[in-house]
Amino acid sequence: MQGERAVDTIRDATASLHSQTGTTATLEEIVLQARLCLPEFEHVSVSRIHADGSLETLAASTDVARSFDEVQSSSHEGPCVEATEEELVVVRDARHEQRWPSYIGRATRLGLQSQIGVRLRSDSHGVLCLNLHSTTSSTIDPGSVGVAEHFGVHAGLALGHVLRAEQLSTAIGTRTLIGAAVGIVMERYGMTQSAAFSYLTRQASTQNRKVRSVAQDLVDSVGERVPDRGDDRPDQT
Amino acid sequence: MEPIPETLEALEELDRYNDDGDLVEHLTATADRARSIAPGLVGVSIGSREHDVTFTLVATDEEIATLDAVQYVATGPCVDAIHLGRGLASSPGGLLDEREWQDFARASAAAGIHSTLTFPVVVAGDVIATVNLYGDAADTFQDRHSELATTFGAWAPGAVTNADLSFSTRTQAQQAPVRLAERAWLDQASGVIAAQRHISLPAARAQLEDAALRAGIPVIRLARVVLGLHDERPDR
Repeated sequence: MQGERAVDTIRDATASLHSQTGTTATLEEIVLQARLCLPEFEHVSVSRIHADGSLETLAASTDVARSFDEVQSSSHEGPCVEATEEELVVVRDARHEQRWPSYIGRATRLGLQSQIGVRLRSDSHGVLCLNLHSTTSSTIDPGSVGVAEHFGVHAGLALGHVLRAEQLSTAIGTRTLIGAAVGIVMERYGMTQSAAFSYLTRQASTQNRKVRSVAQDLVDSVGERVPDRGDDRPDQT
Repeated sequence: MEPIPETLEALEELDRYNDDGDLVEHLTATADRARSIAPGLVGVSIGSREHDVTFTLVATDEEIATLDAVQYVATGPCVDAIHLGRGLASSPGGLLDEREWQDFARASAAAGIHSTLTFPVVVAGDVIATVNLYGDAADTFQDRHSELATTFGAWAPGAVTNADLSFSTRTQAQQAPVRLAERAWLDQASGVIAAQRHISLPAARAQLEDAALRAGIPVIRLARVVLGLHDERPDR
């Protein structure tokens, strides 16, 4: 019986999701288990919607899944963008879909026939969603929608837990990295601690990058570069 | 649940450097979820192994006052678990059977902690942190290990019960702001040496440690001297 098999598969899948102890492992497990629970969707991805509306693929089962995400990202519209925590978004027979004309037009040219977008969770980093794409079937079984909904709840919970567990450790590591970068700037440009930190944050702001990314570049550069003090000494104001 | 003042200070300090920072909100939400699973939960401590920094959240002001009455100890099985890089195997009768901890356990049990649950957080085979949960009843965590471990992303099979009835981790959490400040001096001094000598950061840190060892002084003190000398240079 398909129903009984599905129940076993979903139970195993959710247990497996919750047993992962890292963000990357959990993301990959979500994609893998979604493929097993909902085999009619061959191209699965988990992506993050940033505040500017762009999509970043965090894990994907195929390159085609990544391509669909890219189209949704540049279109700033589509099932993933539209999905809410209360309601997932279902696209049956994409060729006749009237919503999101920009996305659907380009996605159908890539072979999209049907899709489900499931919002997993939202946090300060943006919104995480699960994208299930089919390039072989334009119909979606009503049971599959229920499975996707159930799976999405567990995937969101599992992802939320590991993000929190690792966040604290990452935050301390980031502070260490930035502290070392501050020391490098202090020595390289003859600055005080507070001026060096301001310099780092200014660099991040003008380059539209994260402070930790600028700090990482500086840390990576020591031992490689012999700066001529004064040549590139920045304005401390 | 809410962070104790020192934990709040430490988290806010971390958020200064954290581009995505809302650590207070996330930790509080996680602790609240754990309390919904185990309503008798009155305290949560998370200790980072690598950085030797502990964070503690407690349930209410009243419980903070109660816990303040506890005679804290400088060490305990949970601290040992972190330092050993593994969970501790509890004796069949629990910690109360072990003479070393008997007095502490009795004193703190009277103050309101009647059960504890300790989990390691394992990432890529390494214990990166330890989660300690404190309950107001002997059965607070009974049959809830798996759910609670999942909430913190911890390793359920590594659970140890009643290993810290004295709530010693809260004393450690009170040191968190100092630990972070000391850590910042070390990081900055390492950065100064790395840039000065054109060597990698780990090599700079190793030189700092080695020099402190040779001089017979704490590395923190040497780091402060390095930063002090930097500030006194004429081109500052």
